[in-house]
Amino acid sequence: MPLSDNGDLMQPGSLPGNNIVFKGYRSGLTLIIPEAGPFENYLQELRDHLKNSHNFFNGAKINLELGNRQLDTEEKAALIRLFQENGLVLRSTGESASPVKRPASKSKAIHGEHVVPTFTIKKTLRSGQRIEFDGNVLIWGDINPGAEVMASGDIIVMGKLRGTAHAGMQGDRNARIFAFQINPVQLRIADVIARGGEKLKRTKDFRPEIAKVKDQQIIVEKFN
Amino acid sequence: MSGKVLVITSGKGGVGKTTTCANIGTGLAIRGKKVALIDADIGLRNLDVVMGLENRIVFDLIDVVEKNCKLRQALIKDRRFDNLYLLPAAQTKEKDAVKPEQMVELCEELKLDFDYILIDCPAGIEHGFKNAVAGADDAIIVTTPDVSAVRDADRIIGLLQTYEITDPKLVINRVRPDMVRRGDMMDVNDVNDILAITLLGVVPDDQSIIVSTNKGEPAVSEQSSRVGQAYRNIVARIEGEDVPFMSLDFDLGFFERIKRLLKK
Ligand SMILES: Nc1ncnc2c1ncn2[C@@H]1O[C@H](COP(=O)(O)OP(=O)(O)OP(=O)(O)O)[C@@H](O)[C@H]1O
Ligand SMILES: [Mg+2]
Repeated sequence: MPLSDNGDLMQPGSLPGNNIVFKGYRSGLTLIIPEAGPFENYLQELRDHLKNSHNFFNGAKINLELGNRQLDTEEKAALIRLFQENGLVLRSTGESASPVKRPASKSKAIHGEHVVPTFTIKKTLRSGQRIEFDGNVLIWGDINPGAEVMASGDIIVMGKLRGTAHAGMQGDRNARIFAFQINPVQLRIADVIARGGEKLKRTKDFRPEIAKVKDQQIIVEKFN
Repeated sequence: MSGKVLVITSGKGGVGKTTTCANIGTGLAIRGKKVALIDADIGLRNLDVVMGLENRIVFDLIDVVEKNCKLRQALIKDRRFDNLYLLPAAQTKEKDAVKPEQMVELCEELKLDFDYILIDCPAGIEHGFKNAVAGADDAIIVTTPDVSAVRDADRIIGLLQTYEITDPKLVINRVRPDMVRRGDMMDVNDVNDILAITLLGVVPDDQSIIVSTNKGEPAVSEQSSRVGQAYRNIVARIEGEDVPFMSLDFDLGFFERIKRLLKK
C-alpha cells in the first residue's frame, strides 16, 4: 500500500500479491499480509515461514501492514501468539492506513503514447497520513498540515494544499503541483525545495494555483 | 435501553478533555438523562476530582474488568444528581492493565442501563487512546485554537476513521475573543477550515472554570456563568436541538460564518 500512517517510506511497486511478504523499511521490518483471501492461510504460511527461518526473526520488531483487512479479536490473538512463540515483537499495525484505491501497477503505452498511472484518493489527507506513488496523484480533498504526498509525476489537489507535496520525486523537473490554494509547509519538485511562507513567491488571492520549476526555483502562479 | 457511547479525545494533553467530559455529563444529567462517565486515563485519573467524588472511590475500572467487583459496585453516584455515575480510573495500576476488548464489553454492559456513556480519553495516541475509543460509537474532539492542538486533533480524526468513527464532533475550548479580535489567536473559522468536522460548540477561556473545578461542581450547572451557557448549548446540540452559536463578542460576521459552515 502506498499510504502508510507511521511515516514509513512505502516503496512503489511493493504491492502485496497472494503471499505474505517481509519488507525492510527505514523504520524496521514490515510484515505485509495481503488484503484478500482467508486469514488462516496466511497465518499458516507465516508459521511455515518462521519455522524455516531458524530463529532468524528472533527479537525482531515487526510493523504489520494489513491494508484494508480488519482482523477480529481471535485472529489478532492468534497472530500475536505466533509472534510470541517465535520471539517477534509486534510494534505497530498499519490499520490506520485507511481507504486506499489500488493503483494501476504499471504504466502502459496506448497508441504509442506513454500513459502514466494515476492514484486517486477521495478524501482529505490529515496530519500523519502519507502517500507515495510512482505516477501522478489526484486528491479530491485537502492536504492538511502534517500530511505528505510524494509522486514521481504530477500532484493535483482538488482542494487546499497546506501540507507537504513532492512532485517529480525521481528527478523530473517538469512535474507540476496544482491545487485550489497552495499554502504549503513545504513544496518539492524533483530536487528543488521551497519552504512555505518563505522562499515561495505566491499570488495573494485564492484562485487555482500551479507550482513549477523556473530558473532553479519553484514558483507558484495563478492557473489559467 | 441502548445508550450511546461517546469518547472525548484530543491528541494533545491539557486542552480540556476532562473538563468537557464533566460538564457534558453533568449537563445531560440535568436534562434527565441517565449518564455514566468513565475515566479511561489510567494512572493519571482526575475526572473524580473534577466531579468532587474522589473520597468515595472504593473500586475502579480495573477492578471491574478484572472482575474483582461487580460493575454496580464500582459506579459512584454523583453528589447532586441521582442519574449521574462515575466509573473511576485506577490510580496505581499500569496503563496496559486494560485491553480494548474489555472496554468494548464494559461499554456494551453499560449501554443496557444508561442513555449516555462518556469516556474521558487520555492524551496521546498510544494504548490508552486505543482503549478509550474501542467501545465508542462516536467521538467528541476537544481542541484549543492553536496550531499544535489543531494539528493533533487532525491526526486523531484521521485515526478515528479506522475505528469507523467517521463523523466526530468538535469542541473548541479556551477561545479568547480579545486575542481573536487582535488577530493573535486562530478563530473558529480558521480551525474549522482545517478540521472540517461538525462543530458542537465553542467554549470561552474563563477563570471561573478553575473555581468550579476546585468545588467539584462543573460550571454547566451555574445558570449565570458564561462557560456554563456554552456547555448547556453543547449538551442541547448533542440532544439534537438546533441552538444558535453564542457570539462570544466576535464581530458580526462570525455568526454567519459558523451558520454557513454548519449547513455544508
Ligand atoms: N475553558 C477554560 N477556561 C479556562 N481554563 C480551562 C478551560 N478548560 C480547561 N481549563 C483548565 O485547563 C486545565 C486542563 O484541563 P483538563 O484537565 O480538562 O484537560 P485534559 O485535556 O483533560 O488534560 P489531560 O490531557 O492532562 O487529561 C485545567 O486546569 C482546567 O481547569
Ligand atoms: Mg484529562
